[in-house]
Amino acid sequence: MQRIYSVSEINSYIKNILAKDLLLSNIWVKGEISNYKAHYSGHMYFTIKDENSLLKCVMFRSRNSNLGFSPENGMKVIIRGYLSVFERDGQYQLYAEEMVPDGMGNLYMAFEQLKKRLESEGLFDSRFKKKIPYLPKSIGVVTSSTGAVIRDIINILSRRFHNFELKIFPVAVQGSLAARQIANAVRKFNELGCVDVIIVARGGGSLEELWAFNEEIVARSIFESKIPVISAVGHETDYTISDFVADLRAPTPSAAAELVLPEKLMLKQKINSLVNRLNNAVLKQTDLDRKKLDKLKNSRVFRQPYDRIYQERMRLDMLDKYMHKALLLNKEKISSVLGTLIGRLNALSPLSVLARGYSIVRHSDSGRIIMSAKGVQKGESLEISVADGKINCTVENTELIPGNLDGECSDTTVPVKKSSS
Amino acid sequence: MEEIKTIMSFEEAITKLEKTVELLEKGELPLDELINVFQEGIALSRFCSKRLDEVEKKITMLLEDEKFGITEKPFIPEESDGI
Repeated sequence: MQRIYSVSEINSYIKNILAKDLLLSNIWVKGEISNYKAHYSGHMYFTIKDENSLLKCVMFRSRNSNLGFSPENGMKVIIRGYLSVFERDGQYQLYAEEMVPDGMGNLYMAFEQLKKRLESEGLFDSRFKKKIPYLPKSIGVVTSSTGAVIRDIINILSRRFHNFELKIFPVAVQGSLAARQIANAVRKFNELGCVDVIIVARGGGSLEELWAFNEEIVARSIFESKIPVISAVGHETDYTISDFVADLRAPTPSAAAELVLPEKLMLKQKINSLVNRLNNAVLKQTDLDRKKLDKLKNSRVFRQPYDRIYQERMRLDMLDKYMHKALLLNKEKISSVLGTLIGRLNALSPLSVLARGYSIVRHSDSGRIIMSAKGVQKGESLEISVADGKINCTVENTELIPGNLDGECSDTTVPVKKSSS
Repeated sequence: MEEIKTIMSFEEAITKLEKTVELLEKGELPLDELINVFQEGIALSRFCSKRLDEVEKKITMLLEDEKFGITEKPFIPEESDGI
């Protein structure tokens, strides 16, 4: 039994079939606009038709913002886009990606093809873009020697800088010779090497009038130029191949003049302000250094250079005083100790014993001290020491005290009773 | 120090001058160096000012001739032809 499909499935199926079709995925269609509606969201809804048939179209805002013209009913156009199904309504329609008024269609397609080819060759790569010199000494202009463009450029440059060097390479900017002349001028400037930057310029015009700047020969001359090139062709909305290849795109020739030279007055002011800052910075720092120096000069060391010496001297005096005091104190202490010692020494002295009435007896010959009565013989000479002198005498006899010591000791001092004075 | 390389572009010179000013404004340089850097800054500013005035206003047209090659002559603006 055959399967039964839902409406959604059928629409989805058809959408897939259309999506797979190579022709329908990128197609050019021409027709006349009717039933045009610009939705407030920015998207455009309309149909295109010929004598027999209608095709629904939509162009989303993201695609129509660079359109360059306002579509209206009855206008003949060429649209590039893809066909797909709007599933909700079960309706196929053309999703427009680009749209140009018919008549320009061929040029437009040629433009697109050349753009794609040169882009794929890398001619638009940002890595090839040269920096525009900030203050070119000499500026080359490739444009018509007559007309508003060169006058505008000269006026703006004069206003911004009043002294500048401009070399004009006059060329035809439209017509069959234009492209070759423009390319030649760019190359000649490079051969001569007499300018720092080249402006390729033309005023506004139709796509046909601007066409020279979409020619490959011009694009290649710009790409090969060693000198940086500014492309300034037409109005702000006009894009040419030259714009893509050039190192810088200026929206208009006047804008190119503004881009190529800064305002002299502004630069002068900038230099002046930098010089002022330079001076101020140095003044400020030397001022700081001077203050630092003043502070050092005013420090105590410089104001009272002898202060330290005075301080030390006073300290020395104090120490001296203390030392003397200490010395005196010690002396007194020592004398008092000495007194005591002397007293004690006196007490122990044999002389003091003699003073108390004791005497020492010696042999006159040997000086030996007599300790025992047995130690002397009758008739021997003896010497008796007393406190205030000596007495020489002779032994008459000896008597022993009975029961008393019979010691033989003879070398120790024994108190002897004084016998006579 | 007074001598600025003539190969230096205006942009390089003014960028260097800006850096010099910033360096000085930090106020961290010893006095000797301060004076050197200051002098360099003054030389840079003179170089920049000179570059602004050195070019004479001169507008010329290059004319190509098969016989004589390219000749240069003063440009006198003509009446507009509307382009």
